[in-house]
Order: sequence, then structure tokens, then C-alpha cells
Amino acid sequence: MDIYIQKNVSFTLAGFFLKGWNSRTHLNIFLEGEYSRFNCSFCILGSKKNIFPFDISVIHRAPHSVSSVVIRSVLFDESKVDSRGLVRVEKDAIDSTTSFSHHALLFSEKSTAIVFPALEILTDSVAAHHAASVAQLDADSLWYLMSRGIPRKNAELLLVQGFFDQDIQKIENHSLQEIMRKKLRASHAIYA
Amino acid sequence: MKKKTSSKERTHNASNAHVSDFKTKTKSAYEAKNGLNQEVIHQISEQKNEPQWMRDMRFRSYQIFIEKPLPRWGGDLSALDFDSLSYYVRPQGQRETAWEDVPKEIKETFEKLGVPEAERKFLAGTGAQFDSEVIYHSLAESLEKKGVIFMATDEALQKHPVLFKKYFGTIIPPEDNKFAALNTAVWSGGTFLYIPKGVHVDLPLQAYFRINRENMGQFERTLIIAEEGSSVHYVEGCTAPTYTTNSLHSAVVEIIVKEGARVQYTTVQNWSNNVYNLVTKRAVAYKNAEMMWLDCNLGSKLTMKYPAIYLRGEGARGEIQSLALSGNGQHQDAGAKVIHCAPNTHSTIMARSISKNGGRSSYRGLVRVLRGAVGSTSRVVCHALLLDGKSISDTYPLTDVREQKSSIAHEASVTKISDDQLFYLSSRGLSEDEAASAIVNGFASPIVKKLPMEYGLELNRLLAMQISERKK
Repeated sequence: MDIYIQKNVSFTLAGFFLKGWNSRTHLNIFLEGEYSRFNCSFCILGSKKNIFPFDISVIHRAPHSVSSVVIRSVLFDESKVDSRGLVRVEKDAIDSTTSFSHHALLFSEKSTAIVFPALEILTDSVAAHHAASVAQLDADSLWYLMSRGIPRKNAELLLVQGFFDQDIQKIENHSLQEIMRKKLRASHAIYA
Repeated sequence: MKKKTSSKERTHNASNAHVSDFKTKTKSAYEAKNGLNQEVIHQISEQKNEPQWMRDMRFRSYQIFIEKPLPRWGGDLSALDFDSLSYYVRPQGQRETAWEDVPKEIKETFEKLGVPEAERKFLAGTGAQFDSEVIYHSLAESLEKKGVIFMATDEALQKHPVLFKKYFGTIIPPEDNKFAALNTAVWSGGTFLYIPKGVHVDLPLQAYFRINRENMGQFERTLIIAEEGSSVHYVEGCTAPTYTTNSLHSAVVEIIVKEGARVQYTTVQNWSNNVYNLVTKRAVAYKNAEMMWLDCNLGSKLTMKYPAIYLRGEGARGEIQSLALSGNGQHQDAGAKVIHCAPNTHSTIMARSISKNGGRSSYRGLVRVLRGAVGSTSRVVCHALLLDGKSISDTYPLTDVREQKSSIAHEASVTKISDDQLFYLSSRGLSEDEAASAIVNGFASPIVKKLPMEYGLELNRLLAMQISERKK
């Protein structure tokens, strides 16, 4: 899918993914107009043998363009996320700002995360950064909740909600925030 | 107490572009015809009087080299003409252990570069390679008595055949990639370093590689074995004069760090801008071992180099510090690879790059955690500094985690010198060049400060010089 964002337009994309897919999908965003903005927030909750292979490319072509891509994955069972991101800031896209992050939590021994956030910067007048992390649930936080009498499964659920909410709360559109939280609450069955 | 060097004194000079940009007029004892074929390989092996197994390995590797295609990723290799290169040039004279015995013109070359001076002041041993052969090698007597072996790889093949054959090609076999195959077919020179169990080499050991001839291919092969509980710091420097035609430097470095041992391998590369620098470096660290690559890339037309560490034993640690400076017409495609194969292994990768005058710096990295590497952690930090609007920075970090009980984090940023920082320093009386230089030195300092002091001083001097030319 290709999306072209024109001058002074702000485009927000949010997605909550429970079911995987087999062939790699491609999302290409082109910031073509000055002061164009792209915000993307993806939450992936993998279970069973679902796989989530995808590419996201964000190409800054115009000055003062802004992009922010945040992806959070929580993987159970034998699920797998294989994401490749590319942010490219072209020569003319001066004073652009971009950030790209993908953080994954692995909940089982057989889950896998492959994370590849690439940057190509062709101008010096840019603020660009990216981050990625793959880890398991923080043991100290889990212990803290359980020591307050919260059963393990509920404690894990709270921590996972908090993990996703760090970026959900940054979505500017409040209605979209609520939709995402509702989807997250509806996926409790995964924790049973 | 070490003697302090004054700012005017030149220490080992692996890194001064102007000082190293001169050509030595010398007659070679033997020069292979340009181009690569079986006859050239046969001649190389004949010149060295090698055992049959090595000769067979060379020919087998040549076949692998021909069959493998060039990589389609990374830098532009389209102008690299394998047929225009000379694959073996033996300089006059033989390998000496005293500088006064080295042929005059070659000795003067290394004196200009500060190598003998450095050896006198702060090294435990030195090797010097001129085109295809090591022309000088020395090791402190105290270390020889402890069983340390530090010699040219060719010499080690003759004098320590059993030890040599046990490890050679086991970490980087010729099938690994096209340039590993090429190196295995035509390798000459390089360092063989063996540290016995429990021996600690307190002062660095250095090797200096000099390409002198035009259209030269230099293919040194380095093999380092650190037995249990030992430690060593090995430093290499490389330079070449500038020609209008291209040269190729394609080395292979294999390092085995056994249980509880520690190896630091430092490189300060300052090849001239006509050199393709395509290197495969890999270390294996066993239980509780530590391996550190400190990789500074300042020169060359194109560098493709990704020092790697396989953490094979429980508790092994790996650290890779990478500094790249790329200017007009240069592409530094450097990075790091760490594979966590065992539990409780830890790695740190710190990469900093500076691009100026249209140069391109690319970080290409891999952190892979295999299933079973429980309790492993890794942290990767990449920062890039662009000094003008013509320069380019790329970051390609791949994280592949297959073990739930591990923790891997990566972050990267790309920035330019901020106007606020320049204004602040300028308002304190620094010129714009001095201010930019100070900022760049500060940017590079987390890596530079890990070098031995004398090398750090030289590197800072070179960075300052390069930055002052950034508008040219």
C-alpha cells in the first residue's frame, strides 16, 4: 500500500493486529508536501503460530516533514514478528524530524522477533533517531504486582496493557486511543 | 614510567594522512604479473615453499572465489578490476629482527611513519609489512621466554605447523564469502599470535601494514589464539600512498579466545582514497572470555568491514567499538555482528560515524540471540554526525531474537553540529574550524579514549586535520 501525504496534511495510522498473515506486506509512506506529518502506531498481539511479516518505508521528500512510527509487539506461543523498517530522508527534506521504534516482548520460549529499523539520511539538517528492543516481561514489575495480591495472569495482563499504553496515549486523536484500548481489552482471551 | 611524547614528536603514526602520503622507490625481489590465475597462486606458494595441504587449500579457495558472485549489498564494487591488480610483490631483503638490517628505503619508510620509535617507547613487539611480505618482526625477550609466539603468518606455517593447521581457516573458511575465498587463495603476510595459558602481555603488540606499489592487492592473514586465562592487546595500523588507480586490501582475521582469556584488537585504518578495503574479521569467545574489537576507519575509497564475535561459551562477553570518518569520495560501510550462542552472554556495540564533504557512512549490524542463550543481554548504540548537506548516513541494524529470556536494545541517532554549540564555542574565542573540531573530537571521544594514549593523541590530531578541511 502506498500513501502520499501532501502539504500541511497530517495522517495518523493506528492498527491492532491479532491474526497474522503469510506473505510479507508493504506499507510505503511518501511525505511529499512541506509540513506533512505521518504518525503510525501498531500494536501486535501474537498467539499460536501467527506470523506478522511486514515492511514499513517512510520517505521524506519535502522540508519540515515529520514522521513517527511506533510498533509494539507482544508474542505468545509460537508467534513471530518479522518487521523491516526504512526511513529515508532525501536531500530536499531539510529540517525534517523522524523517529522509528519497535519494542517487542517475548512471552514464550518459541516466540521470535526479528526487528530491522533502517535509516538513510541524505541531508544534514535533520533530527532522526530510531530504537528497537526485544525482551521478556520485567521480572521485578511482575513480582511487585503479585506481592500486592494480584494473581500472576492478571499481573501480566496489567503489564502488557501498560506496555502498549505507553504509545497508545501518544496518539493525538482521543477517539482512536479509545478504540485501541478497547481492542486490547477485548483480547483478554489470549491470557487465559 | 613511560616517557611523555611532546606534541611535536611523532609517535607510531598509523594515522597522519599527509605524512603517510609518500611513495618509496625500491626494487622488489619478485613481482607477480597483474591478474589472478592458477599460475600466480602456484608462484605464491612456490615462493613461500609451502606444504602441500596449504597449496591445495589455495587452489580450492581460488575455485570458490571464481564461483561466488560479488555481494549486491553494501558499497559500489563495480569499478573493482581484479585483473588489473598485482597479487604478490616480494620486497627486497629478508625478514629481519633488527631495524638496522632492514633495507634502507624500506626502513626510512617506516621511520617516517614512526614505527621504530613507537616500538622503542611503548610496545612489547612489532611487525611491519611492506606490500606482500613482513619485512621486520620483533618480540620482547621476556615474552618469548614465556612461550608467546608473535611472528609473520608465513613463518608460523613453517615453524609451528601443527598449531597452525589446527586453527587456520576454522573461524573463517574460504566458503564464508567471496573475499574470504580470495584471501585464502592468495594470502601473504599478516600476524600469527599465540598466547600460552595464563600469560598476560601487558604492553600492546603492533603490526603495521604498508602498501607501496601501485595497483597492489594486499592480503594479509592474521590468526590469534589466546589460551585459557591469557590476555593480549594487538594493534594494527595501515596506510598507503595515493595513486590514481585502485588497490585492494582484503584481509582475514581469525581470533580464538579460550576460557577466561581476554583479547583486544585495535585497528587504525588510514588507507589512501584509492584503496578498496574489504575485510572479514571474526572472533570466537568461549566460557567467561572477553573479546573487544576497537575499529577506527578513516581512509580508503570503500571499506566493507563488520567485525564479528560469536559468544560460544557461558558468560562470554563481547564489545565492539567502531569509529568511521568518511570524506569526499569515500564510503565507510562498517558495522558489527554479535551472535549469542550460550547463556548469560553479554555484548555492547557502540558505533560512531562522521560524514563530511559528500562522504557516506553506513552502519550495518547484526545481533542474533539463539534459542538457549538464556539471560543474554545486548546493547547497541549508533550515532552519526553529518557535517554538511552533501554527506550521507545510513543505519541498517538487524536484531534477531529467538530466546525469550534475553534482553536486547538498540538505539540510533543522526544529527549535525548544532548552531548553538558552534555559537557557544565561537563566543569563547574559538574560530569556526576550532569549534567544529572540538565538537567532533567530543563526539568521537567515547571511542578514542579506549585507545592507548599515544594512538588516541594521533587520532585526535588526524580528526582535527580532517575537520579543518571539511569545507574543501
